[in-house]
Amino acid sequence: MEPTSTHSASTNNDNLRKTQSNSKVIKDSNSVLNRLKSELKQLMFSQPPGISAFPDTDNLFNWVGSIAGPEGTIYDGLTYKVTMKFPSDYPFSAPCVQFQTHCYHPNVDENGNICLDILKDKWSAIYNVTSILVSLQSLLGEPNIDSPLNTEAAELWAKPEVYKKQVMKWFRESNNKM
Amino acid sequence: MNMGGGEDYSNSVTSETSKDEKSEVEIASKEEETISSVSGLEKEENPTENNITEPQNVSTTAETAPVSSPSVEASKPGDTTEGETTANAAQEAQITSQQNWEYEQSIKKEVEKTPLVCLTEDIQKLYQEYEQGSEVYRQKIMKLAERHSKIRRCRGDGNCFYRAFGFAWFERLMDSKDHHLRQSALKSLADTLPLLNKAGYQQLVYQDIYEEQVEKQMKAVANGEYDEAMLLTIFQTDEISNYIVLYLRLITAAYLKLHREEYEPFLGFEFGMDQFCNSSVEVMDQEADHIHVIALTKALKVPVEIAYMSGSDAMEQVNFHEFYPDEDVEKGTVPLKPLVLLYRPGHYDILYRRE
Repeated sequence: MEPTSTHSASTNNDNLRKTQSNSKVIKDSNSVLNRLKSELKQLMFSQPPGISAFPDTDNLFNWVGSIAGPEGTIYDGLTYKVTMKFPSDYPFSAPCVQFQTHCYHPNVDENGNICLDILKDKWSAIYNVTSILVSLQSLLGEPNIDSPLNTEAAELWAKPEVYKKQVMKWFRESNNKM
Repeated sequence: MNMGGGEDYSNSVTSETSKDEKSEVEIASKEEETISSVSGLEKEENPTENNITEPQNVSTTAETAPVSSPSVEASKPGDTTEGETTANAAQEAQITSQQNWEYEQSIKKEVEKTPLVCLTEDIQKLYQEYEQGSEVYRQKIMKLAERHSKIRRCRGDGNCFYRAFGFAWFERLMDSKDHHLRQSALKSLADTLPLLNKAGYQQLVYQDIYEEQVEKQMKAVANGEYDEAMLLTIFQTDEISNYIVLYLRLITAAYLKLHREEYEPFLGFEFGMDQFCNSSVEVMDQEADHIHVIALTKALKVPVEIAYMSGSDAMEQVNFHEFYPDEDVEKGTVPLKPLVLLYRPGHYDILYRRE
């Protein structure tokens, strides 16, 4: 068996790949923008309680959002600001989500970075702005103590009174700076 | 279509192989815990074996394969004994999910050197991969070559089943030129919208993908606007190709969710169907198993035959599994000829039957 008609390979293939890269750039941003517009529309029609989000400026790729601490938890009554930066291949990759208000929490570091599986290896295109914020809201009340970014907070979680003091201290300091 | 000589292509594959090996060593040295498993496999590896399948096998962990999977059992074609496989699995289990994720990212970069879908190659090329390797595989490929003339490789990025299925399906419709067949395919595709809705997916997740990508491409195929080169361009374009993969993943998940009583028993005790779909179907780059194949073929009413090649089975025999969506296909009343895929542990490619 000799290879016959099978490969125009490198020449043909290289050409194919060159032409596609141009069209990709244009199409990419279009479908990402469409998706983000749909998400915005959905949020405007039905906003889950305690959650809001809106594009930061004219740039649809940068959003600011807010999350109210769930009722009956240590975070009850506190509202946290977050930023969401969407990658150019969204929704194939997760947005970069960060707390802007200092959030004293086992799964949030001092720079506001968040350790949440759906924002990393468990990310899939079915998640969106709303579901991310809802997940973050429940993360506030139900931290994952086993893999903490803030070990001190993880240790103090068992002592609600001391923990609450820390939460309030950082929350106030952070709001004063803003 | 004008197809020229292929020497250059095979050369480029060879040179990529050596590059891959080099950088895999670099990766391994960064990830101490994985060194032994990776390099151990490398040594046993047939040096000419195509690099496409390697990263997949290495990255297969218990975590990413909740369904009892042939890819775990036979993580290396032919030469791996059961004892070694168990040891590797234990080592991999020690790696934290974060390390695992970083490791998979670095492997991903290597895998990305292969086009998402390649041009067809003579089946002989597949044989050459194993010339200095597994005898079992050579025998099986000889057997395979009796009825199959060509192979079309897909990138081993964990999406290969969906991508191979998508390409083979579109190509079959393109080649058939049968108006009725094309219309019924469009109808099957349209029927997936209520399926997704019923399964609880939000419109914003699937509606645009359906209209702007999948249906649009299939209509172009149905209208005879595409030839092989164009279809290949479509499937090599990351965004379009990945949206098609994503849509097929969503259909698979939706079908499984709506038939959960039937399929949940196959998942093992710790998994509910929603959790399974969340971690193993909806997420890009997660490999497909029997259960995914059954769901997708049924949801789209597309018959598929898969040649399973692993080093453990009897020589001179390739097991074909028929995934026929319903009895109509067996009766021959559905005119669509089955798509033919080749499965090697952890990877799917497309096969072409001799006329």
